[in-house]
Amino acid sequence: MARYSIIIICVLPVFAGLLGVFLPAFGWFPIYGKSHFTFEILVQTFNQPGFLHSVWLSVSTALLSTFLAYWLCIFTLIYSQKLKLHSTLKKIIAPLIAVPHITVAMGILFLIQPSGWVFRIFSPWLTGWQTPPDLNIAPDLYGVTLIIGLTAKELPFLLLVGFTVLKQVNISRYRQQITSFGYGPISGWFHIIHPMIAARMRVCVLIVLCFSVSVVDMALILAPSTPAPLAVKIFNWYQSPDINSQLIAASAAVYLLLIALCCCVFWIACGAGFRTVFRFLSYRGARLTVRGLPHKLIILPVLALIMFVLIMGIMGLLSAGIWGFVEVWRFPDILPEKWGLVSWRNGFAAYIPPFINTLIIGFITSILALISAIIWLEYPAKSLSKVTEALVYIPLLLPQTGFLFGMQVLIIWLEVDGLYITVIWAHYLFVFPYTLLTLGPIWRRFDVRYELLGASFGFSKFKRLWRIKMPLMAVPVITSFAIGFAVSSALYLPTIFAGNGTFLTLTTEAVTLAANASRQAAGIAALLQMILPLVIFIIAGIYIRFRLHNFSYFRISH
Amino acid sequence: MFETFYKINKAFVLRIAFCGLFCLLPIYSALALHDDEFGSLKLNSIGREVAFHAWGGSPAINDYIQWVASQVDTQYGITLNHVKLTNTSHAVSRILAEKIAGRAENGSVDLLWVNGENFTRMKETGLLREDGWAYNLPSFRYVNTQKMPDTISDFGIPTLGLESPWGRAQFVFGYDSNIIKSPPNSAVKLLNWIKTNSGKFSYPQPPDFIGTSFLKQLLLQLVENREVLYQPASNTNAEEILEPLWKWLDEAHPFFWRRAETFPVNNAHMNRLLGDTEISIAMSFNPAEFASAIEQGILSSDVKSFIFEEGSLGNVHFVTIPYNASSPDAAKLVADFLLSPEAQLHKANIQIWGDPTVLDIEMLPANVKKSFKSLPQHPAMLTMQELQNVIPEPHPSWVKLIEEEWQKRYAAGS
Repeated sequence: MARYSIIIICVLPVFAGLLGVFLPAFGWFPIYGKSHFTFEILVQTFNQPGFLHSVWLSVSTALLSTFLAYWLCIFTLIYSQKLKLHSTLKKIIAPLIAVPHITVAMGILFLIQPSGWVFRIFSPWLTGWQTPPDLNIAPDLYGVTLIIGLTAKELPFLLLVGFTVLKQVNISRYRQQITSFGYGPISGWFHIIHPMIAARMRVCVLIVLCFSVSVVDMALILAPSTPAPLAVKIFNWYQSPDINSQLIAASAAVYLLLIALCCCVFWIACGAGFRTVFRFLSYRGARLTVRGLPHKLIILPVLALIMFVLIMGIMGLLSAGIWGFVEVWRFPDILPEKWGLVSWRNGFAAYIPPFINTLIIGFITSILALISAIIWLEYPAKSLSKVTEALVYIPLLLPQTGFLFGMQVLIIWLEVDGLYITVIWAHYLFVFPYTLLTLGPIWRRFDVRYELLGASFGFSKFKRLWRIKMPLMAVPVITSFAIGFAVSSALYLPTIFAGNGTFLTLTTEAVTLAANASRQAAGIAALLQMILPLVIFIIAGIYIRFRLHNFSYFRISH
Repeated sequence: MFETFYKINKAFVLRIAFCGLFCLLPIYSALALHDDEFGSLKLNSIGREVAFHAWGGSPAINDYIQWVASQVDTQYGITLNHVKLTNTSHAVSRILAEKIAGRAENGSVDLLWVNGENFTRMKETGLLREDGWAYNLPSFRYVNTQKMPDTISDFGIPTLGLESPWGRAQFVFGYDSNIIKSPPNSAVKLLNWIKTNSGKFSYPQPPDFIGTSFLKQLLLQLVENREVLYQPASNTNAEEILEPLWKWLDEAHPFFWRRAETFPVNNAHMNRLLGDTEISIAMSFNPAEFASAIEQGILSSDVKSFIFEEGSLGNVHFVTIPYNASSPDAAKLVADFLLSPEAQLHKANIQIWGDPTVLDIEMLPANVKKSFKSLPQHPAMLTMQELQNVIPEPHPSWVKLIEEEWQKRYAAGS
């Protein structure tokens, strides 16, 4: 029952959103006097100048960044235990998970654009540049900057998922086996452990892939614009006042959905191919162990790449934060010439109402998402479960502008626009899938024996859940709460659309500020967006550590 | 939440005050008889809230709107809420969604800052209040529609009283006077300057508003007979007319910032690049832009403004009331206040916003006229005399044509 109410709450707006995209894409938009179904607009969209190039950019940046993030994550997992990187890495990735994509993007821009920190460090003593060089980087024509940005943001997310997955797969149990079969540590990993981890991480990786295909905010800053990736072009078409552009945007969104689907199929096929090759090799008895090869030759470059990506992200955030307290900082000074608070012209007090709104909306939304995710997982419906679960993820895949339009019509029709509850509902649509995503794989693999034990004591279902499962699941539950909060606090368009534009959150303030000309304002914007999710992550971290002290079960695998 | 609660309370208090006033109505109406229609608007509006949806990317403009809010609060008892937009299209699609959902009243937008294409789209889709209200505002008497026809014609489209003029925009360039001694104030001079100063010029990528406007400004200079641009593009030999523009761009692009492989995102981005001395010329549609950017510390005080000597592109921006506004009467009062000599004078002040007035200064009462003429000047800003040479916007159909062709030529990749 509960599951069905979640479905209605989630699926109804998704359905309205889908209608809002699909009907115009096929030429149905009566209010513009277009009311017959046609494929003409799809053809017209395909013939837009640079369409295929845009598609290519979307596909290549998404696949490459996901590929990088995934394999860097896998290699980190291989070495993290050996090199005791686990807890250090967790500290580095927390801020990158907590902050919104756009903040990471701004940070990277502050870092590697020609007037950025990296060039300041080497100028003018090494490069001789007194003014920023006229180099076409950040953004560059091939989307490399975007790939760096996406990888820096997605790698930490995958690592977080990976660490929890690794806990379930008791590696030490397999280690001796691997060695006794004559595999080296790495090839043994690929033969035996990777298939187990890959299966558990697949949904998350696919979500990352789809997200990268449809990313707008990060791409607006880091992707090339001549032409831009398809998602950015859709965003621009939707913003255009021209009526025909609205229809083109909708049909391009349909294409984008197809592209995301194709990318997923491609990824799954590659994974299957990879598995087949290794299975074949195992059957043939190949060990792929290069005896003479010093381990460090593999570890060091991979480790360097991982550190490069993560440090890039962190340094970016740092430089963005610095800009919030700068008065004068001209090229090529490494540090600001003059610090100050002038940029906070409205004073800190002006940010208190948006701060409270963000806190309330984020808190309620993530709690609700958490509760419904647990209900969803505890009462799995046999029929339709795959279909409904796929529907839940749709808000993450569709371009928000188009999707939200259909949803907005629904909200207005229900006469609930501009209410707190509506904003929370709109946020919930985006937070719930993430919560389900981060909690689901772990929850589903919970050792049933604990519950059986509880049942044998005569505990009711609720008592088993509350007294046994929840305490044991405290870490993943708290983590997915923190992620949910981070997702909620980063949402911009849903807040605007559902709240009639009158709900100020730290993100709506940040986006308005970022439109301002000054870097100082952009720096403040970045700070505003970072602060709350970071605080929540830190509190969650402290709580988790406190809890872990009480559970030796977790200390073993930690 | 507390704020909302306070506002509700405030409205309640004002409503009580209104009831009190109602008892005094006979006396009041005797006093206000001569201004009867507006008097009833005022009575209807006490304690109302007006949601003013307006682009919120400029602190100076936001502060001005806050000043307006305090004024209409004391004068009419209206609570003006500025809903800050990042893009006007968000508000337009909200009103559209309300129309589709069948909400004919109690809409979420009461007043909207708009012009050009967004206005045309709203007009065509029937999203505007159609009682010719804008012509009946008391302050409209200071608008000289003969001398300034663009106050009733938005990008060549007749406004028919669907929107009320608010301010004036004019295309200006900003340049770094440390690097450029005499600004290249024509299309030919600009081309030569770009060729000799490689990598120091660019424009925001169309369809950015400023970028497209720069192309229009160029076209107006390059075309042989400017008159053809005021007809719908489909009536003309458009391809041939646009040819000189593409020729100019083809010649200039190789010498652009980042060799025209990347363009600035918008004019805020351009200002940042100008401040970093990555480029030497920036552009804006607000004559006071560079002066206020200097005051904000974004640009150095070496930046000055110039326009093309043959004249610069100019247009008027408006406020409009959607067909389903919740408080249309109060919105009219606010629109009237925005157009009043007092508000226009405050807005024209460079220390406030620096947006030129849409009123005919010659028609104003002597004391206001004097205040207008003695407004403070800024070295980075052109004087009213220097800005006199305005070229009106071409027919809106050209915009789409230019943008699509530009996209095809310069942003379609390989």
